[in-house]
Amino acid sequence: MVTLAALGDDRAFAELVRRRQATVRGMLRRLSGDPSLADDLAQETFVQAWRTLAQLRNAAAFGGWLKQVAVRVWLQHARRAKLLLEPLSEADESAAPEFADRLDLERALERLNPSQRLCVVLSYGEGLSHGEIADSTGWPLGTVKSHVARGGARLKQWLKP
Amino acid sequence: MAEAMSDDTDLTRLFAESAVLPDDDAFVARVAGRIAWRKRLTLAMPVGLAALLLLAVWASWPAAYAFSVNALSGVMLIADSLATFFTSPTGILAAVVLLLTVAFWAWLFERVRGEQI
Repeated sequence: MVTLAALGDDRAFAELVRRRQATVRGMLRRLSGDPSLADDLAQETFVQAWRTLAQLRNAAAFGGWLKQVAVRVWLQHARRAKLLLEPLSEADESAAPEFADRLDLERALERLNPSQRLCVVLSYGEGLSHGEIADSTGWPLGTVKSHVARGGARLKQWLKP
Repeated sequence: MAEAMSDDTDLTRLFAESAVLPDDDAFVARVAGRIAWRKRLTLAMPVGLAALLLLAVWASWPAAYAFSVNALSGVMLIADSLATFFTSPTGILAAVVLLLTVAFWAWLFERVRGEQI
């Protein structure tokens, strides 16, 4: 299917979109916290994937490659919106949010610093290793580990029953 | 350590159990629409550029005409000068020397190549 799509078969690419849309849209919803924005970014992800699919050497790696494209699209959006340039203050970060039910993952993620949110979603949600996250984001490995550890600790604290 | 690992597993499980989005045909159609638009844009761009070029030539016609005439005049002047040179005795001598040099070079080249083979 991936090979056919890379050769320019539109129906094969549409089938790939159908199969992968839930993963990409779900990941971007967790990252953005906004369903409408997430769907827009997911569409851009598939358009960019369509443009650069011929560069993919290993068709079996399509899933991971598509996630990397989605991360790039998210980072482009975040830079445009200056999201990563506005980290929460220490006071804001340490404050425990007031959840109606203390098990709302989406709302807990929204409270995280965008950089931490990205690393936590990729690590716990998508199962990427720290090295793979560093490759996808272009951030140093130490920074990624720190974001995963601190973001993960906050989530655990907030979501503890 | 075991507690930390359990915490990590709980978090991973929480992510896995969070709502999975249903398939959305409208989303697939929107992606197809955006790709079709990109394709049309890619096809239309060269045509648009050609049209812009023609428009620019039409808009600046007197200047473009003068430029073309001057450029052609320059080319014709060079061709005329070359023709005059090669019909003079010096030019004929130069042409003969040039032809002999090329012939000798070709003969030498073939010989060297034959030795290599």
